[in-house]
Amino acid sequence: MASTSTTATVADDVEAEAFKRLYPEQFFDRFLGEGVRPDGRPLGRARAVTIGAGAITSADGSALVKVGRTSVLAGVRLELIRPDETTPGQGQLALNVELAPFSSPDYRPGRSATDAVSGVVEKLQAALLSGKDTVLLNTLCVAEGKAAWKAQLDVYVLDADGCVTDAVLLASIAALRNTRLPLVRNTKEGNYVPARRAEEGAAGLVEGCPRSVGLGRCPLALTCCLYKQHVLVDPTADEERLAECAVTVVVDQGGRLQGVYKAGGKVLADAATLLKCTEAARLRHKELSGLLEQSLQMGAEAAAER
Amino acid sequence: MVGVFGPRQSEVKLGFTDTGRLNCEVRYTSFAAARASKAEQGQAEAAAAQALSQALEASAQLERFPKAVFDVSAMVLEAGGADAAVLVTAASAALADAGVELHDLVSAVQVVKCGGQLLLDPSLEEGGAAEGSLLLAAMASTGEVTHMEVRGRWGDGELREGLELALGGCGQLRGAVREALLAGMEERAGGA
Amino acid sequence: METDAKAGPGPGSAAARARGRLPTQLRTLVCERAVLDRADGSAKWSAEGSCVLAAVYGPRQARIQREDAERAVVEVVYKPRAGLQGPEHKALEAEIRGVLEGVIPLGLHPRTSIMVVLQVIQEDGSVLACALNAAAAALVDAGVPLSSMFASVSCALASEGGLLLDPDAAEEQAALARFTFALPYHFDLTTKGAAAKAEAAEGGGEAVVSSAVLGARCGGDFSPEALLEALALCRAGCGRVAAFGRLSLAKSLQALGGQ
Repeated sequence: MASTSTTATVADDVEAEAFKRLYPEQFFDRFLGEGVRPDGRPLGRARAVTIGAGAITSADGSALVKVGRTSVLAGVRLELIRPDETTPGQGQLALNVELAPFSSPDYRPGRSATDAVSGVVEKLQAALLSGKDTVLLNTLCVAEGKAAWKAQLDVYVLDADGCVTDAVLLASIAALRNTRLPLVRNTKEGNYVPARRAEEGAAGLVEGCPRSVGLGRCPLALTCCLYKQHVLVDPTADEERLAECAVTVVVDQGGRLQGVYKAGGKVLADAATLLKCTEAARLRHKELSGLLEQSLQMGAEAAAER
Repeated sequence: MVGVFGPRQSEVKLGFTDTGRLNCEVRYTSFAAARASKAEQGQAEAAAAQALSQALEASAQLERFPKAVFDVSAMVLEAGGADAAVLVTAASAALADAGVELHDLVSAVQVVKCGGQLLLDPSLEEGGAAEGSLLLAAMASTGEVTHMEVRGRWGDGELREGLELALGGCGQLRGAVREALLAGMEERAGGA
Repeated sequence: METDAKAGPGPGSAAARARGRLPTQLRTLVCERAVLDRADGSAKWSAEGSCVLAAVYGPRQARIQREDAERAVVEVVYKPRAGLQGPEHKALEAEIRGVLEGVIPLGLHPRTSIMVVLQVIQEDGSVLACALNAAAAALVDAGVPLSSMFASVSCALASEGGLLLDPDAAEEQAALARFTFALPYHFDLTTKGAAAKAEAAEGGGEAVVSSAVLGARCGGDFSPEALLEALALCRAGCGRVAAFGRLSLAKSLQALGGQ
């Protein structure tokens, strides 16, 4: 008896899978009609998030972020440079986002993966660098006109299952906040070099050199899909593909908007929908910033133990 | 982290082959290891991909997949010593997870000679200080070696000792990988 | 075949803008159609300092890699005024493609590709809006069926707090936030009286601009209230762009008929 019931469920599973493949819209509509999504979430619920600050010990700052199955790894590498003559009191921040070959089934070797992420890079750039007070570049300066840090932020998308922009931005912020700038020593020849750990407290250290990357704001993003009359918060890749219409909202800790993006699509968004999305983004920001603080604290403790 | 795609149809320009092919690609993250330049990193990636495909080719039953290509793409997130060995082990596990028919799981370990002592699975500092290194990829259940790389000066006895140590390591690893794969399958069956 | 129309001055305080423009005033629009011989459709849309040339090819056989058995694929190529394409241009391409996919009934032309090439000729603010309008005009010129027309307008939130419609490059640079909206519109020919119908047939009449957004691209630092205000302002602006678009189309059709 037990065996027959198991075979029945297996057959049901196969049937459900086939139905999903052949008639994705009907499959989806059946769920939405009941007010749930295929993964069991209600329409307005975002997926669970884990943030691992300081995941990579060989990087100067890093974070591994998972939003549902989407996972993103961000790392910061530091380098002492002579600041640009036009901005003597500022360091530099370079951004780079890469899609790992196995992150999405659409990937084929040989095809440039940059096409797929150009929109993400552009939004990340806008969120971190276009406002003058998001990443405070002057906090990367060691000695004006002589030495400054160049932070190379590399973000790798390991698994793309929807809402890549949101995860990339969150990982970037976490990695930047996790970054500890080393002390800087001024050698006899007048060169600036990073001081090793043992040399802390030794002579020749530059006074008052910065220890962390200053962030004036903490922008975080939330993507919502519009599908027929529904608003799906934090969609998976399947949902994104089907809905073909997404609104991404970037908000900072004060609830001010930093960006609203809607790249066309089949569904129109009226003012009420836009407000709904921004409200959802604000709520999500509150939820995430708590997690972020917690994870950074844990990362800092782990670093202190080493 | 390693992903496997395929089997899929091989590209037309490569012509007909009656056995399948493995297409390996390895990428390092920019912060995985301290490296001087992009070019150096590119070289390291190419060399790692070469070693990876050699180590895996013998284990997969490629004759069962004519005209097909498997894409094995790996990304080294953090390099803390013996990354080539970890790459091979992870890639073989990924192939098995993808349901590709294998003769056996390939597991690989690195052994270094450091001041006359043999060390299994060296850390980054140990690897840097070593006088000689030995990379061994083997199918542990049959005891067959699929790939071996020896560097440095090794005496006859030392080499034999090193190989035995490495084979023992491979056996240990194989058990661990097997368990992980079974656990993964069970989880998936439970989740569905 | 050249027509231009000055958008009427709107209400609002007269802040100092270049050439004495009011905050809610659009720049002078010019639209030329069928400017390229070899393309299936083309248009050049300019708003004083900004000018974009759009060419439409298709629907034609899609390349095998891109082909979709159930619908047409839209390809957009955005060529900047100078230099090579950067990631920001790729992002614009994706944005424009999304908007066009929203108005072209893709299911009508399975296995085909519709390619839109946009060449920026002059750049002086509100380029995205200009490019979208050029693409819309070129699609009409190519005779590609559209489920709805759309117009696009930018506005900027000035540092003093006021909104400026259709900003130029200097205003965009100084702004706290920049907004671009694409809104669908249509002309209502059914409910009005006969007189209104006759007027509409001559190219007059009010455009009915939807209050729902087809595409949006807003960046900077702003509150949700500012977003809604900007949307309302752009909606009014789109109405004027729509009226201009219709007028210019009517004139170019008349010119064709007269030949």
